[in-house]
Amino acid sequence: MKAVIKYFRDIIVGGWSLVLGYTVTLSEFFKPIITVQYPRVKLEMDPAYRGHIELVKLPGEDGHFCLACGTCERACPSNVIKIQGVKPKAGAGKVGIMYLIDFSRCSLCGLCVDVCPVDALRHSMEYDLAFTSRWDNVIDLVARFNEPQAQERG
Amino acid sequence: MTDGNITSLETEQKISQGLTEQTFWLNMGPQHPATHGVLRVVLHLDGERVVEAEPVIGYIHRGHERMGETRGYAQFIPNNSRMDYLAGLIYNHAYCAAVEKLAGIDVPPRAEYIRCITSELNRLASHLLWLGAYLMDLGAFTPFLYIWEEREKINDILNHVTGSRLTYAYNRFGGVHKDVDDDFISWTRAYVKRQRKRFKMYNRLVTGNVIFQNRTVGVGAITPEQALNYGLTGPCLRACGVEYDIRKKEPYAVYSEVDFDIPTGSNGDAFDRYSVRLAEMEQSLRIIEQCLDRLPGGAYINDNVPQYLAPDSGDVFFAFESPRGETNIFMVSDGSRIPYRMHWKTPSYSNLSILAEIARGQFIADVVSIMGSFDLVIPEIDK
Amino acid sequence: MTSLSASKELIEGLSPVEVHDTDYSKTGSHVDVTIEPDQIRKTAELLNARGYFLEDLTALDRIDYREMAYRFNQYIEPHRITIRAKLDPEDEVDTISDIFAAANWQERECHEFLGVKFKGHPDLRRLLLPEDADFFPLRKDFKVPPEILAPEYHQEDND
Repeated sequence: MKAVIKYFRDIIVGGWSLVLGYTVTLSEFFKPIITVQYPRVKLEMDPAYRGHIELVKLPGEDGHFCLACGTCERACPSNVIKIQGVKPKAGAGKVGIMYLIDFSRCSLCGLCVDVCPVDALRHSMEYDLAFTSRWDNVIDLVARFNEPQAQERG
Repeated sequence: MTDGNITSLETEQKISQGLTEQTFWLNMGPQHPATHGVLRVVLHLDGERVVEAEPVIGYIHRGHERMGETRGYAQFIPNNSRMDYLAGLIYNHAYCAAVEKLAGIDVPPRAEYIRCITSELNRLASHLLWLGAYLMDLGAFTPFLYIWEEREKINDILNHVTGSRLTYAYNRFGGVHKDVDDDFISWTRAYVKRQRKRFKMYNRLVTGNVIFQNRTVGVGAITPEQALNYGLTGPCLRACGVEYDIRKKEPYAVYSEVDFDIPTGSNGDAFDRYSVRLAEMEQSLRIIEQCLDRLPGGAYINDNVPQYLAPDSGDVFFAFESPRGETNIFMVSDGSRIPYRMHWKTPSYSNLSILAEIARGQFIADVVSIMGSFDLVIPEIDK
Repeated sequence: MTSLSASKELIEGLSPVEVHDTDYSKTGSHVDVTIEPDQIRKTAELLNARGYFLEDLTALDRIDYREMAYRFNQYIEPHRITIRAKLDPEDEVDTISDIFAAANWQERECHEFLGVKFKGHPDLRRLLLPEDADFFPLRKDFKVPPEILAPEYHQEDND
């Protein structure tokens, strides 16, 4: 007899727990939808987002600040940066003319931005970069700096 | 190979016809949704019962320990988040704390509180993902999608502070990379309030559910002696009844100044591991609130740390509490800019080694439930 | 059971070569004991009987010798004992995997990364590396291909 009572009690208790679950899902059904239909609707990125690095352009200034000192190249853990610089004339400082980064190896750690002695680097906000060949990942930041319109996302 | 006491009519007929039964090997292969990573479990099965289960690891071995010997101290910071991707900020924090211990660097109090708050947010995110993934292993698809909403909110808060959503390189030697602003504080407080209501919802939806109870109560019970023998730590150990949490036993950062409990279970089965983790999430909310109330002003980083750190020769052993258990960092320095040896002992490593013993005699479905309740993250096993 | 005075007679019982009381806040362990490699089983049995559990088992390549480091700790009140043993590069050391089951996988990992041989281990196969690997990656004479070294390390190499 005890077994029969236990049998029916189990059914009632178990069934009630399922009903409680259904009340939860039913109430969630009437809440506003939180899914965003990306890529038709894009969310706004937080300005603090760390994308790959780019050379800083200040509003009043003309050029970039990179001195091609190589500190960022030595600080990078993943061998991402390669720089070349020239001295425009004797006695003047070096100016960076080619700044290659291999974006596919960048781990977005920000160590290069931290160590730059003249604060010439900052993080961009690009997040949906997709390329069709592996070599498109190597981008030249100085060229991007000089022609920002031509070097749109690729 | 059938149990001698149970003979059904069918089995007797089969035996009389000369058919024999035998065991077979099944590969719960490296690509499997229930193994939470690239883990291969070679199962020796008798029907649906497991005779022997052997985990095979090494499919995501990337050589972090050797990488630690070929990079400077600061250059190893991005690697930490890749070891345990769900607790990236906690590993980051602990690595920086270990190097600070080795080199004798002081950290300002504001940075310690910020580190604690962000680490506890990361712990919450990790436990939430575990909850969704475990329930999905058991067949409940609904909570898996509910937890993503909370995780999105945590990711948005941490994105605002650190700039990344999953693999963080936020801590630096002597503090943190960027200061927190009022937006962070108000968003975190709003999140804490909201999360408490959501816990009530999870308890209603999952904890009393008859299907969930049948699949977790009594499944994969571990005794405290077994746990001691295998070196288990974390929620798996606390579910057996042993109250061992590094945040209380060997406090680091500001954990000694905040007030929180250590939840424990009694049976050591999968249901106790679930309850312990849910209770831990509530305690994490308590820690976050107290740290936000006490957040001091001041500097957020110690400016006197050289870029190329060269600590004195010696070694340090640092233990910290990651969401899965106790992780240990053993770092040896020989006075140069590159560490001499770096060894990480991760909790999923010990937690997985007990699977071979616990899974004997269980059904396959119970093996899935046991593995899910251990909360394994395979990249931290393979480093 | 946990105070340092109780551990003194425990440590004497291990017949150590060298004992230091280390500063916990600087190094993370309370006592540092150096023993002969053939005493490791006796050490493990003594610590097991006292309720310690094995926290970590690693090996270091010190070029002239290998150094094993075992850490034991307690659940009740933390008391970390570090046991070190110096081995010649071709030496074997006894396994403790039948006393502490946690040592099973840790010894396998030590063996495949550094080549330390464990006598009596039930199953010393490869754990993390592929089955056909015949190199020992964590030895100091293992050459890492230069393209995966970080630039800072490169710089020191070229000087």
